[in-house]
Amino acid sequence: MASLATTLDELHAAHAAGLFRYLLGLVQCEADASDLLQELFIKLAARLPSRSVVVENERAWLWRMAHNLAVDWLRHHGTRRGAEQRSAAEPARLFAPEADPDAAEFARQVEGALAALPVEQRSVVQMKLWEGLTLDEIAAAQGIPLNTAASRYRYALEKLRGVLRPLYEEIQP
Amino acid sequence: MNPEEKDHAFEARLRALPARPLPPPVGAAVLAAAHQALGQARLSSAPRLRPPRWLVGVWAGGLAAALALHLDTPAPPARPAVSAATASAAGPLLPALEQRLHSLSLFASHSSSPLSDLP
Repeated sequence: MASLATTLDELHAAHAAGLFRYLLGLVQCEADASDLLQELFIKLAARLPSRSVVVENERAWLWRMAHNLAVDWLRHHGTRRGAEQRSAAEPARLFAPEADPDAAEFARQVEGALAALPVEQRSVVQMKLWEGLTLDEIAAAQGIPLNTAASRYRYALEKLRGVLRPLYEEIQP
Repeated sequence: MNPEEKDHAFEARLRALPARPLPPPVGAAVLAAAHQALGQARLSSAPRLRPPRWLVGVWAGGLAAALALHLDTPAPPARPAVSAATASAAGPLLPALEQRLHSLSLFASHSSSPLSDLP
């Protein structure tokens, strides 16, 4: 059986980057996302010895923790509208820097469009598109019905298509 | 390309954006804090060393017996104010002392206070 320290290292290696991106996407501030990630891993470590961490879907469980932390943070640090206004002014960098200027411009536009989405929709899109969670896992992580997760994803994509219309129109067979 | 295919292609384009890695300082700080929390959690969840029940029973029984013994012990007899030996030793002196005190009191009753001479 792997030691608890090894388990912690493995969880960190497998999920920390994705969780950081998710938190960053929601709170739109690197320092706060770092603090929340640290809080998440401290909670995780504190529960490891008591083995209360044994869960069927580790990934959904971790994202649920991250989602709850971020939602609590948003409640405590002003209204969601306030966070969205801040994020619209200066969207967080969610994607790796691109050498190609066109690709970099596309990434920046997507980051801006994401920041303008309501938090509920943004969180579903982030989990689905970039973290690879299924709609079932998203529903479990966010504590919402599956249909709600699916509709939020659909609405979010529609808005992204609208905001990124020129890029969308460029897509050729 | 029909609209559905175009939507899928759009989704694929978004999905292909390169994920930003975790900044190394953040990752290191988070991992260090987590290991520290793990160490504290291990300490708090470790089983405490406890004496066996029979030993606790023996200890409690001994304490109860000692307490009972203490309560049953009679109190020591009260000490007389003046022991008999002291009284017998002072016996011959007492009449002389009484005589002396009597003479002093007579003297005190016949003497006048300096204040009594005042008009």
